[in-house]
Amino acid sequence: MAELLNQIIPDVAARSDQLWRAFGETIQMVGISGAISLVLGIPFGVLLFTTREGGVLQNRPVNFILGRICDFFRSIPFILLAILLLGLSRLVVGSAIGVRGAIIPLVFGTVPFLGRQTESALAEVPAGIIEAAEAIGSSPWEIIWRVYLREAVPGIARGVTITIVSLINFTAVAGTLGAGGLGNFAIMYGHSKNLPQITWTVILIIVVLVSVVQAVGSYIAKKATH
Amino acid sequence: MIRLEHVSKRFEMGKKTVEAVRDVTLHIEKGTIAGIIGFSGAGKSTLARCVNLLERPTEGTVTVGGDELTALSGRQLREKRKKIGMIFQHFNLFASRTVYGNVAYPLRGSGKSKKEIEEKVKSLLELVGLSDKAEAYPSQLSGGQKQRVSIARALANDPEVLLSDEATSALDPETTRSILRLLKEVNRTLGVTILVITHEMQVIKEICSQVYVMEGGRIVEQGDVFQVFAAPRQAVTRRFVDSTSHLSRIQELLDDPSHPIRLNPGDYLLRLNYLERSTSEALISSISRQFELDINILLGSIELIDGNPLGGLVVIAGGGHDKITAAADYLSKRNVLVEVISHG
Repeated sequence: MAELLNQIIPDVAARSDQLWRAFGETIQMVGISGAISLVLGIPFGVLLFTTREGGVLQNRPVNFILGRICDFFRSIPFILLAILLLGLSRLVVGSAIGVRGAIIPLVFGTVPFLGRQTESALAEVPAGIIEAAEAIGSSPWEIIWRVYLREAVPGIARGVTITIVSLINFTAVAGTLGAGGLGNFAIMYGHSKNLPQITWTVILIIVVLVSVVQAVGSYIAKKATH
Repeated sequence: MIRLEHVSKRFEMGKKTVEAVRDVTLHIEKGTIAGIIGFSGAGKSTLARCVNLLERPTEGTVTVGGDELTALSGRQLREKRKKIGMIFQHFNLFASRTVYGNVAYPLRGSGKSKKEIEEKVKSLLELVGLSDKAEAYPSQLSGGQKQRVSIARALANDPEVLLSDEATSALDPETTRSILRLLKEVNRTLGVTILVITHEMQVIKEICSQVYVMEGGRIVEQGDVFQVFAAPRQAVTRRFVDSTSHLSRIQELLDDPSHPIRLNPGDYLLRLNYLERSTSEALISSISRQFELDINILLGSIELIDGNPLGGLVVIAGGGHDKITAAADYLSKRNVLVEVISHG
């Protein structure tokens, strides 16, 4: 196997250690910032939706402020957002580079995105079901926990899938700013040293990674649909 | 059991104000099945939703089982709602929960143990005839089965009142009848007061004893179902009565040139409306014999409403003006309303 790879893609085989390390860094960045984004993004989306007019936690000012915050971060291209957050990153995690330095920008890029995805997943829950829960005497928090977050599982699973895919995309961008990972690897060798084999290999790995994430997400969404 | 006092509900739609319910006062006795009938847009659904405050009335008070809902705090209202079951036209079941999960939903936090909940759900599913579907998801059920699940869910907390908002409107006639039978049984065996919202006369006739006719946000006619439909005073009520009786088709027959109704000189085309329990008497034979009339029955429609026959006949009576007048007099004394549609 190693022999075969050596023959087909010698440039990659010669740097397999760095490739593995880059792959590990990407997984780390996606894993850590993904987990944080999930914990922050889903509640953020729930608030975005439920504070809307007619929502179970209807609150105009809160909804307005959350909405504007969301739009603000979503309208900044990720590469600029990452540069903007270098200072904050240094302050919070003590570094603006490497995997650690990438977490803050990735979280800021992802939470608003997942928030909107969650919001639209909740919007798909038929209003009649919520009304039935209200008629039963459920409190707003009960409706969120026992109705929205349960009925919307397929939609949220699809939203999380899209979010992770775009997060993988963001890590490649972060890589170009010194975060490491596959993006950095491809830039350093594929682009700067003009080794197209490296670029293509990284693309292939990312395509496989995204396909796996998508397949798992679709499977969960399907399983949760009754 | 349900008391509404001067309830009004206005919706602000941009600059326009829509008055869905206007100054409605009604009182529904404990243990009865009452119906609100109206065409779409009459405000009947809004009124029903005012009963459990899914819509908070703009004015007026709502009292259910002695508690004034309009005066309760949010938490108290939620507690009270547990005693007011509601079923809907589109069932509104939790798609992500099984039949068991749907019926068990209202029981969480009720202080019941897991075992008690299990027993309660089992007995409810038995009541609605779906014991074998406990593990099915709503999407695997027919419309009638879904409505049965929602009835079981609505009864989970042993409510005093059940609100039925167009619960049979999405169902075929046969399923409608089976759901109505179930509601009647629930009323009889559990003593639950039921308020039925519908646009179908059939529903009112089949299960209600009291009826409220709504039009333009107001209750325009109310009372005993039999009385209201035997002698409708409002045009809208008459339209509902006509919707299930084919006596009104006489006009179509008269207008249809391909089936001319021939009246000989001295013949009268009459409509006889039975206002009281008079259908058991052999009225047609009697007037035929007593007044020497020839009576030809063109249309007939007699139904049981709340256990009493209601309906009428359209007949051609021959025998001359005087005899027919005398016969009409005789019938009127026996609570049959005689109307002359035309004469030859």
